[in-house]
Amino acid sequence: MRPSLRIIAWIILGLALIFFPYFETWPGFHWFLVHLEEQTGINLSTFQMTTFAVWLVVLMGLNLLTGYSGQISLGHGALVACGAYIAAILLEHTATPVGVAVLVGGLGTAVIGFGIGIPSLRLSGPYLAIATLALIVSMPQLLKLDAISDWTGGATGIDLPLARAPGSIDGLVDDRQWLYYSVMAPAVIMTIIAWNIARSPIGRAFVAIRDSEVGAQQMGVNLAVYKTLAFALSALYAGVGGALFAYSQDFVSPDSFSVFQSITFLVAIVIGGLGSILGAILAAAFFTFQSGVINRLTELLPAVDQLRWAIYGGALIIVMVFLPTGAAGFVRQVASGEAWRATTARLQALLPGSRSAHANEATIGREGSQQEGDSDE
Amino acid sequence: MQVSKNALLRLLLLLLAATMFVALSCDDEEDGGGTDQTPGATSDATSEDGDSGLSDIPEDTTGVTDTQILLGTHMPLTSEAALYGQQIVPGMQAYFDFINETEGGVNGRQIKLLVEDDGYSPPRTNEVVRKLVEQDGVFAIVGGLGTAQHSAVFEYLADAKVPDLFMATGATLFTDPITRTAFGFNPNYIQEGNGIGKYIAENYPEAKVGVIRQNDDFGADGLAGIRQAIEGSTVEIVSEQTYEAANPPDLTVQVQRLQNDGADLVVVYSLPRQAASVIKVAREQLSWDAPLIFSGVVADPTTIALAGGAANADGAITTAYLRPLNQADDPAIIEHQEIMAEYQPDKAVSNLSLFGQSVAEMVVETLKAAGQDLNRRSVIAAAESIKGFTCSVCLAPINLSPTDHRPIEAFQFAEAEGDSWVVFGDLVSYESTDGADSGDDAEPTDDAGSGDDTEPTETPE
Repeated sequence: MRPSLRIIAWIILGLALIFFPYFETWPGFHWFLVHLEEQTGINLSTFQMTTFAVWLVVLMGLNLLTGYSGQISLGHGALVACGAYIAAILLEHTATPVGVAVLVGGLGTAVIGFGIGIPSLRLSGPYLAIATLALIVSMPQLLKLDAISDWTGGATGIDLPLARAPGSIDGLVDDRQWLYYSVMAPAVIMTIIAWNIARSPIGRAFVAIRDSEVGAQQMGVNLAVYKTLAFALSALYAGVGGALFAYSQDFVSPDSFSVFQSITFLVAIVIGGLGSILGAILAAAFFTFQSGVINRLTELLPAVDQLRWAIYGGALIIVMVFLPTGAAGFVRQVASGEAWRATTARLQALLPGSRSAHANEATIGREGSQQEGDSDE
Repeated sequence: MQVSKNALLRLLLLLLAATMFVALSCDDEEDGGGTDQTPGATSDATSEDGDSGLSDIPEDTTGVTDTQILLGTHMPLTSEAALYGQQIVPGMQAYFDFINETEGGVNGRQIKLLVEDDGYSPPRTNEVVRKLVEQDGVFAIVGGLGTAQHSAVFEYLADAKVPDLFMATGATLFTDPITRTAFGFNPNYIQEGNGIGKYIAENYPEAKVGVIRQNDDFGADGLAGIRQAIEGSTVEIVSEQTYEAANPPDLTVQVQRLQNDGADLVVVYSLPRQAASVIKVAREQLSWDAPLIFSGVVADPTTIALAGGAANADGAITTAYLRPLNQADDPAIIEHQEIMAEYQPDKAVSNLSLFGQSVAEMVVETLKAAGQDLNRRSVIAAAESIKGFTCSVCLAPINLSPTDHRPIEAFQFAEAEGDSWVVFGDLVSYESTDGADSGDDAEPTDDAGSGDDTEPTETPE
């Protein structure tokens, strides 16, 4: 794309995000929303878009960890829960402003992530995945411990007050629109930061570690430092996402974060596209709207719900084999007119007797198969 | 490492900038956030007002037209708890269709129920309930299922003054303190536990009780009720085991521990699958014949089937607050079967569909009481005025008042016999509406174990 076109595209996207909460009052767009929901189960309401922004932050962080630095977190939901609970406790028990609570939630979670990351990252192999899986499995019991239940609310969780538009701009935006802006703004900022990190020396160091640890070390990348940094960064994102989650849902409980949710995070970023900012955005869209779509499909074909995990597993395999760069890679191929050639090349590479695909594709493929094994657990 | 130092610095600067922006964008929030106690405060204040004080509920007619009343509910239709939604929803739908067809709806308005699947996940409940309220414009939410799930939307509904009628949970936090727009349905677990405790103290005065409970409010409330009831008696709790609802429903370890701790009677606050596991483990693997008592949420033939049938389950005790399904000659049960056959022919008749009908009957009764001039204020006033209404499939009359938002406050014990649960003993009532014609007194009365009286005992008027 030419630079000027690119700038126009960005401006249109920005305007769309800014005016989104007002779209649904337009008759034509309202009609579109209603029919989209009826046909596909995708509900593009303002609140749903707020939820999308929350998952965007979380998945952006997971993509930095898994997509860029090549490490896997099976229990990312535990970190999201940390951020959510830190923010919720601050909002419930103190008069902390929401912005501060979100920041403290993010930084606090980053510190926790750093603490967990140090021991598990010094070991090679799947130890981080195992440590985080242990975290998400044990989290409900930890949150329900009597010793801290005065703070965490035990099994009941924490019921926060509803988010309200501040008095000064009351006439301009209603509570729903206010919630949308106060979640979407940090989400956009976090996305821009992630985009910059990915193109910075830090991001390149992450990619170097992902592609070859030995090679990265040869190039002077301190493995322990960068792996821990990747995990702490992704914990920061998870924490901010969690805090925004608590703020937008005005409720957190141990039931809000399940093991399956964490596995779906991984499924989402693989389908969306590993190691790509666009991939994280598509992943967040997938994660936000999948329940609605599964629901719609279940109406048509009742078996879909029972087969949900089989469908996700199948989708993972198909994506890893045919589209190792996920939906984002496909979008890029289509944009550059290479989709057909790339797909046929891939098919040819799979045929017996053909030469193996070139190096970086093989790397991504290897990671993918590792994740498939993990999500089967 | 010169390069990465620069990068780190740049990252820090960016983070700082982001921080300031986030703080700025949300700082004004304090006004809104600071006054956040309002919903809770209002509900407290109104509950002190007594019967009036409905004036802050607007006479809103959203979802009501001359020909239709639009209602919404959130249920798990997918996920591991899908069984609930898939069987309760047809029960509700069938009864609404029945009323629409035979009585022309309520006051000439057809009842339409929108069902949204929340997959038993609180965040999803939040999404779908907001959709029902904001996009579909429902008049009220009826029968929303699940404690944590409903918690996620409870305050939202209270704040929007959307009637939150007869939620399918027995957790006390929704009805104590009273929120004027919100009504429970299930018997609350503390009171049920109380009844179970008294039953144990009377029938097994020397019992060493082992408790298995779900590690959440449901289990904690049940245990609290039992403790209350056995205080001062010779019954003691020797062991307490918990499980997580999200884990696979295999309670082998918990049952084994109870036996090791010397329990000779087991009380279980669990969902049906876990209950079945307890029965199976105790009877098959440990050959342990300790009496087993379960919370009423397992009172469905499915539990017995899952537990390996009558051979294992016979003699297990639970509580029931709806008419037993196995009473083939009970006209109410026959009617339920007919309604289901007519309006939901593909769906099974079960205790859950029966439950669905009981909720639907309460909704219809409330809408009828609200009269022709139906709005959000009048429907709350109507619900609070219900006295002595016995739904066709209920065991006891339902009484509500501005200070009592708990419809079902009586149960009977039931014992597994063959492939179904058979009620026995007298009605255990703990009606909290004063002077209501609920029974002889408001104290729990239990005189159980008096043989296998299969006929549901009529309530003394």
